[in-house]
Amino acid sequence: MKQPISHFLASFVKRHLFLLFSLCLLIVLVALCDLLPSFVLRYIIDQDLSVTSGSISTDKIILDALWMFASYLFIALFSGIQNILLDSFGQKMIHSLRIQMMRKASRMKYSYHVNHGKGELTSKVMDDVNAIETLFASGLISLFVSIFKVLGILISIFIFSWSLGLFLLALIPLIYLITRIFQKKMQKNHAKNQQALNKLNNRVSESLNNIDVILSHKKETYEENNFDSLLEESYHLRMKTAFFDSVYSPCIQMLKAFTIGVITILVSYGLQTSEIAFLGITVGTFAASINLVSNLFSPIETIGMEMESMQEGISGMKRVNQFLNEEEEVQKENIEKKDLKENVPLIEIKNLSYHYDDSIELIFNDTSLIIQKGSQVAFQGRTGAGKTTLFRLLTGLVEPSSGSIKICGIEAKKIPSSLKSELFGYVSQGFQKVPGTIKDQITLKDPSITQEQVEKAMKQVFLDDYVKNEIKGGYDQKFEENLFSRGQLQLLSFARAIVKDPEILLLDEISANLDTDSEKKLLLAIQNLKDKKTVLCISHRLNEALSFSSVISVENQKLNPQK
Amino acid sequence: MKKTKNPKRISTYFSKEIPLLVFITLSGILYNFGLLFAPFFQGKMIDSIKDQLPFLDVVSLILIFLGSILFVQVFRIVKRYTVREFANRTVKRIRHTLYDNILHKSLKDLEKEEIGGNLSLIFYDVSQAVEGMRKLTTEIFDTVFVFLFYIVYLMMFSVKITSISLLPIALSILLAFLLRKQIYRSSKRSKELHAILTEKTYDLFENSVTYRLNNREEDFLNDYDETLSQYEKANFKTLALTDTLVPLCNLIALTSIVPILLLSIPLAIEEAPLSIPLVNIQETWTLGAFSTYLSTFILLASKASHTANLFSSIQKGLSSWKRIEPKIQDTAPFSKAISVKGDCLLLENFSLKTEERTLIEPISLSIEKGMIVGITGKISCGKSALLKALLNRFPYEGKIILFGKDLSSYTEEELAGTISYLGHQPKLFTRTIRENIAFSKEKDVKEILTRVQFDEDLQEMKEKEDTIVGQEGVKLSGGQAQRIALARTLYDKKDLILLDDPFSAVDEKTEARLFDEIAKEKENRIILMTSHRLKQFDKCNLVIVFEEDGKLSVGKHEEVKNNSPFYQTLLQKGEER
Repeated sequence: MKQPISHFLASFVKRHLFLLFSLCLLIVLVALCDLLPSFVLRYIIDQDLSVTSGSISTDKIILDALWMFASYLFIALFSGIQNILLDSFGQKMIHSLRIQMMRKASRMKYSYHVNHGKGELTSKVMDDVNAIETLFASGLISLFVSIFKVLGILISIFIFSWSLGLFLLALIPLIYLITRIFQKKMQKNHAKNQQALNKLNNRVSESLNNIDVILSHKKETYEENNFDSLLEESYHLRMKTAFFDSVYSPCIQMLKAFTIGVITILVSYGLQTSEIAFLGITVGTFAASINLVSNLFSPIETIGMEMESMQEGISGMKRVNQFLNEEEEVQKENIEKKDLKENVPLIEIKNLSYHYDDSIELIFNDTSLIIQKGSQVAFQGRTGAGKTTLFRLLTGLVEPSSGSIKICGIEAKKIPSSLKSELFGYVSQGFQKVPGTIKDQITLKDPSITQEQVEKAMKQVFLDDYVKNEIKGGYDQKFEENLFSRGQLQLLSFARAIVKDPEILLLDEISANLDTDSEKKLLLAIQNLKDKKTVLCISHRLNEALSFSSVISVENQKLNPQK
Repeated sequence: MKKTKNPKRISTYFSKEIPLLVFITLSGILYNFGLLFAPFFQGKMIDSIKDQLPFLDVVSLILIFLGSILFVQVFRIVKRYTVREFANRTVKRIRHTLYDNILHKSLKDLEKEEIGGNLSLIFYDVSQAVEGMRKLTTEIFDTVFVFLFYIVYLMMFSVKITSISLLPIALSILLAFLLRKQIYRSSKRSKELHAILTEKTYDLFENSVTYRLNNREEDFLNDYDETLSQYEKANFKTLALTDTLVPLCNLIALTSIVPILLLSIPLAIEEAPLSIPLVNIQETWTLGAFSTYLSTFILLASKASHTANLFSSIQKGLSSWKRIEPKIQDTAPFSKAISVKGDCLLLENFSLKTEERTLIEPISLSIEKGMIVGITGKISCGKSALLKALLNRFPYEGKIILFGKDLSSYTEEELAGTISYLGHQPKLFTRTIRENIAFSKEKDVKEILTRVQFDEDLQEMKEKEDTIVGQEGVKLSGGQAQRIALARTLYDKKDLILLDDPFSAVDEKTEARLFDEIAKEKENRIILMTSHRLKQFDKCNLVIVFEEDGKLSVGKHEEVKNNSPFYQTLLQKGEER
C-alpha cells in the first residue's frame, strides 16, 4: 500500500521548515535547561553544605539561590515558547490534513461516496485527524522531547560517574521491552475501539434521518437498546485500554524506585568495603544522581502516559492513509466549452462494457450507440438493466470498464466538473436538499448564478409564482421540505438542473412519482425545451406523452435502438 | 440502560457513581500521601551515604523504601483505573441520555435538528465534558489533599520558610484562577467553530454527488478552507493560552526557591533542629532533610502550576457541558402503542388551511371499516396534508372522530397503536430486511415479503430476509426500498392505514398486484391511499377528489366520475399515458 500520509507529512514539514527548525532548537534548549537544577544542587551540596568548618558568606548563598532560580526561569521561558510553537504546528497540521482529505474526497470515485456512511466519513475527517494531531503534537514531539531529556540526563550521569552511567544504560532494553508489550496490547484494542465509535456515529445519523419511522412505530425502545449495545461494546473496549493505561506508569515508577535502591546499595556497599565511594562519587554527586535518575524516568513515563493517545493516533493514521489511498476518478482534462468539437456526434458510445467494481457481472457488454445533438431519446428496460448506470457513465460519475464514451469527441470521464455542469442537467428521482434558502436549492450557493437566472428557471417549471406568492419569505425563505409537495420538489430539482442552461438533459425516472398536475407542468417544461436541447430520459410515460424521436431498449447488456 | 434522573445537573453524574468515587477518593488520598515517601526516603538515603551507616541498615532502609513505593503504586493503579472507569461510564451515561432525549422529541422539534451538530455534540462535546469532570474528580481531590499533606509536612521542617514560600504558590494559583474566564471564552469559541466545521464536513459528504455534478465542489472546498482557518486560529488561541500558563505559573511558584535556599542552607550547615522534630525519624536539618525539603517543595510547585491545567480542563468541560445541558432533560419511559377500537372515521365540519390558502373547504363525511379509499387531486392540493392531518401532524379545523374518539385527544401512544403510515421516502435502516420490517431479529417476515411482491428480489439475496441493506450492505433500488417500507407499514396490523403515494416507484403490473394485496387488508380496517395513478381507483370503495376550488368530491368511483368533470379529465390523462 502506498503511504500518502507520509507524503503529506513530508510536504507539510517542507512548507513549515522554519517552524519545525525553531521547534527542534527549543526542544534541545528545554532538554538542556532541565539538567541545570541538578547541577546547581550538586554544586550547592558539595560546595556549600559539605564545608565542615566556618560559615559561608551570605553573598555566595544568594548567588547560588539565584542560579537555581535562573535555571527554572530558563526552563519556563523555553518550554513556554516550545509549547506555543507546538500548538501552532499541530493546528496547522490539522488544517492541512483536513483540507487535503476533503479535496481527496472530491476526486474520489462515485462508488466510494455511495458505499460509506456519512457519519463515518465525517468522523474520519473530524476525529481521526484530531487523533493524528495528538499523535504528532503531544505524542511524537513529546517522545522526541523525552528522548532528548533522557539523553541529556544520561550524559550528565556519565559525567558524574561512568559506572553509574553504564548501569543505567543497561536498564534501557528492559524499559523498552515493558513499553513494547503494553503498546502491542493497546494497539489491537484501539482499532476495534475506533470501529465501535464509527458504528455509533452512523447509528446516530441514521436514527435522526429516520426518526419519524421510529416514533410512529413506537420502536424507541428497540432503537435505544440497539444504541446501548453499541455503547456497551465501545465501553468494554475502552476499559480494556484503561487497564493497560493505568498499569503502565506505576510499573515504570516501581522500576525507578528499584533503580534508586540498587544504586544506593551499591554505593553503600562500596563505602563499607573500600572506604572510597564505590561508584567514585561524592555525596553531592550521589544526591544529584538520585535527582537525575528520578528525572530520567519522568520523560519515559510521559511516553507511557501518551501511549493511549498515540495508539489512537496510529489507528487514525491507518484509516486516514486508507482514505487517502482510495481510488480516484481519472484525471480530468483542462478543457473549456470552446474546445468541444462541433463536427462529431454529441454522444458516441463505442464498444462499451461495464461492471461494478465489486462484481464481475457485466451490465453492458461491448455495445455501441450514437446520439446526435438535438435528438430526444427514451431508454427502456426492466429495473436493474443499467439505465441509470448508463446516465452515470455519460456524466462521468462512473468509468467504463472498457470501450469509450465520448461527449463532443471528449471522453466523458475526463470532462472537468466545470464543463460538466454546463453540458449536463441531471434530474434524478426525488430531490436532494442542501442546507440554505430556497434560492440556494437552485443555485447551490453558486454566486455566478443571478436572481434572474433563478427566476427564469423557476418560471420554466412553473414554480416562480408559487414561491413568490405562497411562501412567506419568497426565495430567501429557509428551505424546508414541507414547504413543497412531492411533485413540486421534482420540479424544483428540474429547475436546479436547467438553471445553467445545459446542452443535455438527463431525466432519470422523474415522472414516476408525480401527480397529474406536476406531470403536466413538467411535460410542458420539457416540451418547451425540447427543440433547443438534447433530451435523454428513462421513462415510458414521458416517451409516450412527448413522442421522442428514438427509443433505445436496454436489455441483455446491450443498447438496442427500437425505431 | 437505566434512566438517569435529573440529567441536567452535573452532580447527578457524580452521585450515580458514588461507590466508584469513594474508591477514587480513598486511593487518591493514599496515593497522594504516599507521594511524600519518595523524597523522604531519598533524603534518608543521602544521609545514610553521608554518615556511612552500616550496610545492613542501608539494605533494610531500601527494603522499606521499596515496600512503601509498592504500596503507593498499587493505590495509584486503583486510582487510575477507577477514574477511567468513572469517565467511561459517565460518557456512556451521557451519550445514552442524549440519544434517549432525541428519541423523546416530537417530530416538530426534530425537524430543526442538524445531524452534523448532533454528532459533534454526542461525540466531541461529551468526551470534553467528561474529561472536565474526570479532572474535577481526580485532581480537585488530589490537589486539595496534596496541598494539605505537603504543607503540614513542610511546616514540620520549618514553619518560617514554609510560610514565606507559600505566598508565591498562592499567587500562582490565583493567576490560574483569574485567567479561567479567558480560557472559557476562547474555548467556547473554538467549540462553536468545531460544530460548524462538523456540519460542513457532513454536508460535503451528504451532498457530494449533487455538488460534483453541479461543479460546486471547488467553491465549497474554498469555503471549507476558510472555516478551517478560523478554527485553526481559535483553537491555537485556546491552546496557547493554557500551554503558556502552566510554565508561567510554575515559574511564579518557584520564585520561592530563592528564600528557601537562603534560609535553609545555613540551617543545613548547622544541622539545626526541625520546627517540629519527629523523634527518632527526623530530628535535625541533615543534608538528607535539606534534599527532602527541596524535592517536596518542587513537587508542590509543580502541582500548583498544574492547577492552571486543571482550571482550563474544567472550563473546557464546562463549555461543552453548556452545549449539552439544554439538549437533555428527564424523560418518561417509552410508552407502548395503544390501539383504539371503533367502527368508523368521521370528519365533522372539517377544513384544512395553510397560512396562505385553503386546502379543503369545510366538509363532513364518514368512512366505515372495511373500506379502501382512493384520494387524488392536482399537485400540492393537500392530499399529503390530509393524511398528515389524520396523523395529527397537520393543524386542521373542525373535528376528526376516529373510532369514536376525537383525534385531537389521541395520545402519541394511541396514534401509534391505531394508525400506520407510509410516507414519501422509504427511510430504511442499515440493518437486515427482517429488522427493517419487524424491528426484531427473530420475527417471521416471509409472508409479508411475499405479499409486497418481494419474492423474486429475495431469491437473489444470499442471506434472504437477513440480508443487510443500506450503506454497509446490499443496495436496494428505489422500487425495492419502497416495497420494504410498504411491508413495514402493513406488518403491524393497525386499524387505520394511510399510504401516501405507495406506487410511485413501481411499474404498473406490480402496482396492480400490490393494490390487490393491500385491498385484502381492508377487512375490519380503513385504508386511505393517495395516488396520481388512477388505474386502480375503480376498485376503491370510496374516491375522494380534490377539486380545483378546494372542495372535495366524495363518492363511489362511478358516482364521482359522473359528477366531477375534473375527475374525468384526470382519468383521461391517466388513460393517455
